[in-house]
This record gives sequence, C-alpha cells and structure tokens, in this order.
Amino acid sequence: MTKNNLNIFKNLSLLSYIGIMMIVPIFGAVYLGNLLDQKLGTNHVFMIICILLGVGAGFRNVYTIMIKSMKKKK
Amino acid sequence: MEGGFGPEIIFTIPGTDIPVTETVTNTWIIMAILILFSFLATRKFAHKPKGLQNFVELLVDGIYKFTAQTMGEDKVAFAPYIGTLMIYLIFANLAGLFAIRPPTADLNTTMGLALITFFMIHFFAIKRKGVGTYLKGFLDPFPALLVINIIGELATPISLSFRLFGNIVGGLIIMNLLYGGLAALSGSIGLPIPILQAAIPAPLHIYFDVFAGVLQSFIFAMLTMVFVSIAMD
Repeated sequence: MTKNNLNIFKNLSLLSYIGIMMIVPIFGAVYLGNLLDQKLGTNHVFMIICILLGVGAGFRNVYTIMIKSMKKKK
Repeated sequence: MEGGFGPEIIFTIPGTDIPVTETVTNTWIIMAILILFSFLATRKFAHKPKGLQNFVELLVDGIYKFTAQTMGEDKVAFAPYIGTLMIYLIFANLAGLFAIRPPTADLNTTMGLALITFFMIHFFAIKRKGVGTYLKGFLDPFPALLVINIIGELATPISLSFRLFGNIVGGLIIMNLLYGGLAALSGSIGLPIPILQAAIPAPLHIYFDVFAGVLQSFIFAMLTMVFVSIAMD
C-alpha cells in the first residue's frame, strides 16, 4: 500500500468516525440526564444540563481529532 | 429464533449460573484456527523461504510496514498487537460465511476490544508524557472544559464498539430475515426443500460479510493506531 493510498484510507476511517463520535456523547448525556431526573425527582433540569454538556463534548471530540490529525500530517 | 437475534446459551459453567454463549464458543473456534495456523506456519523456518513461509513473511512484513506508515517508525512495536487485532477481527467478521455467528455481533466482544484500545490510549499517553502533562491535558484549553473533556474521552470506547457491533449485527439480522423469508417463499410455492435459499443470498453475503466485515476490521485497527499515536505525540 502506497503512502498516498494509506492516507486516503486513514482519512476515510476518521471521516466515517466523526458522525458517531458526535452523537455518542449526546445520547449518553440524554440517558444520564434522564436517569438523574428520575432518581432525584427534578423536572428536566439535569436533562438540559447534560444535553448541553453532551453537545459540547461532541463538538470537542470532532475538533480535537481534526486538529491533532492535521498537526500530525504537518 | 424465539429469543430474538441475541447469541444462544450453549451451556452454563457447572456449579454456577454463568452462561457460556455461542459468542464465547465461536471465539474459541477462531482462536483454535489462528493458533493452529501460527503453529503450522512457524514450525519449520527455512533460510530460503518457500510456500507457506513466503505468505507468512509477506503478511508479517505488510503489517509492520502498515503500522510504521500509520503510527510512525518509533511506534512500530505496536505491530504485533495491531496485526493480531486485525487478523482476529477479519476471521470473526467473516465467520458468518461459514454459518457461524460472528463473535463481533455481540456487544461484549466489541466493547472488550474497544476497552483495550481505550486503556492503551491512556496508558501510553501517561507513559510518554508523564502523569502531570497527561492530567493537564484535561484542563486544555481552559479548566472550565474539564467535564466536557472527560465525557469526550469516555465516548471513545462506546463509539468504537458500537460501530463495529452495529455493522455486523445489522448484516446478521438482515441475512437471517432473508433466509427466513426465502424458506417461507419456497414453502408457499410448493417446493419441498427451500431451494430459493441457494445462490440468492450470495450477493448480500458478499456485501455484509466480506465487504463490511473486512472494511470494519480495517477501520477498527486504523482508528486504534490513529488514537494511540495521537495520544502519544
């Protein structure tokens, strides 16, 4: 496998990973928020906080992977 | 198929209630095949390679080059693990072709493999950077993002395992439904044996087992290499 082909496969792997990397923290946060709200009897307070954190974590994941892999290429 | 598409329990360990599912037994079958192959391939090494030795040398050399190109020359020591992971995953994903339930169609297998990757990422990051620098990384770019950084790191094994599991179990369910449908169709047109099950599922087997199976094995190994090397640099 040539270096160029390998880079294409590497980037395709990362590209296909971005979508799932964004939604996993959001789903995890929704589950956790819901669980906390049920246990503590709060009215969607933890759900909203956790969703915001989950969305932030999703963005953070994509951003760090892109930045670090671009730095590595240089 | 009463229990849905989950793995069947083959036996329970005597004296306990611990069930041993077909995921475990099929993993044993794959392990036995790989151990036997390794034993036969490495039994008689000649100075001038021929036959099987040529193939094995090509395979090992390829894996070392692949690892060195992806992770860097300084991390070529990961090649044995990456090679083992990739060969195991290819065999596991292709097991569906031989009417064996793929072990990767069970979240326990894929989560186990993803957790190895997760611990490797953090262990080698600490080893390379030191505990202080590693922990400081969670406070980057500013300390308020600590929680988001931790959630982000915890998402890695979940996303790695779910994508492999989802791809393989999706293929497995579609193939099972197709076989069931073809058997019912054969019965409804009055055929005594489900002859429609022959040849018709072949293109889908090529897609779901060969194409998706090999591609997902490659992606899993590639992402493991990328994450470990990113964490170490």
